[in-house]
Amino acid sequence: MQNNLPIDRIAEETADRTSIVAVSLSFLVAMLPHFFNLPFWITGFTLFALMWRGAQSRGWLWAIPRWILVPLVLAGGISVFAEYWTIVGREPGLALLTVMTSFKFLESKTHRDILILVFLCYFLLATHFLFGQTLYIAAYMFGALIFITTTLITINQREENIALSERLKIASRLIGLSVPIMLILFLLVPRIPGPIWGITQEQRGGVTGLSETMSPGEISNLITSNEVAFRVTFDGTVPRQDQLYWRGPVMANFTGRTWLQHKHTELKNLNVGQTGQLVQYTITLEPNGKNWLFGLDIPTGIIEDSYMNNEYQLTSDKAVNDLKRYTLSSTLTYQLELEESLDYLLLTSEYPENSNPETLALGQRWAREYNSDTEIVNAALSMFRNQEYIYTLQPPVLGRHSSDEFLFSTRRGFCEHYASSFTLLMRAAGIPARIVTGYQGGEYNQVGNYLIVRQSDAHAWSEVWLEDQGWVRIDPTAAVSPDRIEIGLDQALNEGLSSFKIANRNPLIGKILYSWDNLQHSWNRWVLNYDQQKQMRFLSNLGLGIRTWGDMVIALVIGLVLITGSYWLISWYRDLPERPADYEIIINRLLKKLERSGYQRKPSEYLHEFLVRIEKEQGYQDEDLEKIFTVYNKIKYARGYQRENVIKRFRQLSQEWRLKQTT
Amino acid sequence: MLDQTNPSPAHLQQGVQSAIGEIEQIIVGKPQQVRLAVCCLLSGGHCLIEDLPGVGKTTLAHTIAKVFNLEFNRIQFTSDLLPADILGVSIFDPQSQTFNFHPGPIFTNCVLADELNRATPKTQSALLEAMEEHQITVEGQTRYLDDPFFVIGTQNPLDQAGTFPLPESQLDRFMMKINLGYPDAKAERLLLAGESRKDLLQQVKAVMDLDTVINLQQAIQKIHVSDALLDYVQSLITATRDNSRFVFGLSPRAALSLLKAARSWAFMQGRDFVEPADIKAVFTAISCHRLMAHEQHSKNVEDLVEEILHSTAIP
Repeated sequence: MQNNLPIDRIAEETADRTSIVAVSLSFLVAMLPHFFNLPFWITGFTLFALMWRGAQSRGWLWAIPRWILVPLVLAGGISVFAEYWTIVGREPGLALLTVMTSFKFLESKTHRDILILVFLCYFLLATHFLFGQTLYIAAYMFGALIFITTTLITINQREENIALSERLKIASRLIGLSVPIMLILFLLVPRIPGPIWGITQEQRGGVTGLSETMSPGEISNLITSNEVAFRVTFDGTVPRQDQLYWRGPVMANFTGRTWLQHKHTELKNLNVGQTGQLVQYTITLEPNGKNWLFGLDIPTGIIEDSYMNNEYQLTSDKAVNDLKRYTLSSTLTYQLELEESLDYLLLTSEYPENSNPETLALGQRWAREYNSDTEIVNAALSMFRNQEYIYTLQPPVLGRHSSDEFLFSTRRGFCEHYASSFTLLMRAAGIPARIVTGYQGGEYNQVGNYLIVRQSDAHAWSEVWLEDQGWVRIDPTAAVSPDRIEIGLDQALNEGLSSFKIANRNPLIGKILYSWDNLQHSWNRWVLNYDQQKQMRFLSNLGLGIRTWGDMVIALVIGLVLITGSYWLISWYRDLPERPADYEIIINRLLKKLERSGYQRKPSEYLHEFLVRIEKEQGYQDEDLEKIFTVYNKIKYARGYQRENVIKRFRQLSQEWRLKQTT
Repeated sequence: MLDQTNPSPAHLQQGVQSAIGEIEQIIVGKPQQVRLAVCCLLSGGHCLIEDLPGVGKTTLAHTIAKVFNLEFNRIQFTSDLLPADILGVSIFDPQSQTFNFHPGPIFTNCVLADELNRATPKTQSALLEAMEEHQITVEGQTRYLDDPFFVIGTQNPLDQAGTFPLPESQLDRFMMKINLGYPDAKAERLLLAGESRKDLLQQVKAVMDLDTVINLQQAIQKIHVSDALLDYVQSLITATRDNSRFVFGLSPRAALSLLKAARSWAFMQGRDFVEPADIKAVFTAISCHRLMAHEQHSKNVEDLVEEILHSTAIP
């Protein structure tokens, strides 16, 4: 290869093996997380194409001729269409891009092809943000960016043979230099409300969380999930753990086995008889794919684009597909709907007559035995407390009459078993009751001063309507005696209940984990949540008078010019002739000192010649000066003396030196 | 005697110092000249001594040869001296019916070429070519000279009748020219009062063997010269070329000789790097015989060279 070739000749050169290997690796790095998002056959085909091209570059295989490739490319496009029945959208688009890039590998011959492939790698890398925007993905993309840039340097180096470490360094520096530009673009490009590129709910799968129905065993599946549901920052002190009931979907319909959400309506006016102090907090909610917004029992208001339904569940107008951040206030002591509608009270007293006969019988018997609803509630709770009910994560599988089996034979269950049976008992006894699902508790992160609520904190409890109190929260699970919580639960949970989590670990590891979670929380708050509103607030807080989109564009241009301008200045400064070295500055200072005493070195005089002249006039041997001059000569003319410690010593010697006064 | 096969630089250094001390026992009161001559030997160059008869040129050559354990030959140049008298000749051997080469006096380590300018140019150039190439070609056969090979040439500046003064281009082959001059009164007194030089010369001991001399020459080539000093050498050389009072400036060979000699000088001062002082110390000896002043100038070459040293800034 020659360096002085015109650029178009270089582009037509046959790509060498190093370039092909490097770009193949880049493609793998750019694709790796996507392999989980794509059908198996696409991953297989990609790997096949890379291996074929690699073998071809070694001469083990021949290049696939064009007349075979062209029909194959068509077949590839059709296959993608057959897979998704469209080629528009996130997954189909990615699949098509991947398949076509793989074909490009098979077709690649020249340097130009390799360049195109590198740029495709950059593009593919950017698509990761369509699938997830976590800190992990950002970090991965950053590393991959450096890798691909290194590849770009590798394929473009000709005779230079730059060492790999040096290429990595150059790539890292390039990426590092682009960070300020990235920040400016991030801060100043006008934000458009709404998710990017109209990605809809269907395209976001795989969100774990509460479900719309509740039947025995559903929540206990969730409890092994360590995933964060939301994080909460409180204004002021965090309430006690037993006050932290995060209200989610309310279920009023019962089929005999499964609880379902009632078709609810929007609540016109919030009828919360607030008695206690208000708690204010900000929730950063992870996407749950549903319309549910969680709030501490009971929120006293709503937020933008949401409404409160008649069961006091805060509901979003749109599904929560992106991280959502909102501030709410709640009251922990309240009176809810003293005047509930009769229709709803009737609905919440209904139960199928043909299932769970024993439970119904017990409820009806209590209705006869006790005088007040409160006594009935207490009777149920004391049953759970005093009889051999066991709280377990691995409850036995229950049959058709699930409540009967749980209450009277197995007596082993998880929160949904207790809540479900209790609610049914209440209804049988004639008390309106419903199931509330949500989360209970949370783990306090002292590093970031916020609460982490995980999927494992999912919980179900009951609400009963009492005539003079309205809807009252009853948590039958809490009634189970703590000593009957099955031993070994934490092992079974592995990452289980919040009380078994980070806080109970080795303090150092705990601190690291909390810091990591805090980092994720900050990422969510400052990066992912940087929407139009936040941008406006941030920019107006800057006090630069940026108020409109027009201002932002101007600021953007100025910022970019400033950054590139400063880079240009730095490189200009670096190209300036070198400053005199430190030791030259030091010796010049010393010579100036001598000059003031009347001794001027002639330009043609070497230092020891000069010294002889001084000594002759001064009339004594100046050993210190001789030493200084010798050290200077060593630094300047010998090898290996231009070290910091030598120069430091030299500086010290020459600063200490004084011409002795001779009489 | 220093005869290790691979002595350390400090050892070599010490050897050179004791060699100089030994020479100064014989050549009294000429420390600078003695050092320059040794410097010349260590740099692998040749030395021209231009002086009146009887100031000790031969004694100096003899002493150096003895101290460094060099095999010594003296060639007295006369107008009828032929190249073969120097290089050697093939003589027919009637018994073996072959020509046998009888090497001339040049096949030795140290040659004293006395009164070079008395011989014809043909004979002179035979010697000068041998000095440059370290080899001679006689009857189509190339023969290598011994290593080290050190020539001390002498010229008599007076009594020019019937001589062929060496042209400047030939003088360039000598690395240095050394002027011995009369000894000062104190040295002369010592000379007169002491033993005869000839007797003293018998007592001079060799301080190192030939291999050590070769080692020394190689070690000296590794002495570090910084870029700043290369600048200095270049500006000195340029100054001689730009100076209109010289007929011509110093040749690149002179510049190389200056560097070599400065390295040796630095080594003799006990350093492993060259300082400006080393260049200044050898510059006059290296340049004077290579330069010629225009005749209309009253100043002689030595003064002009001094002027250059005084007007060239040290970087």
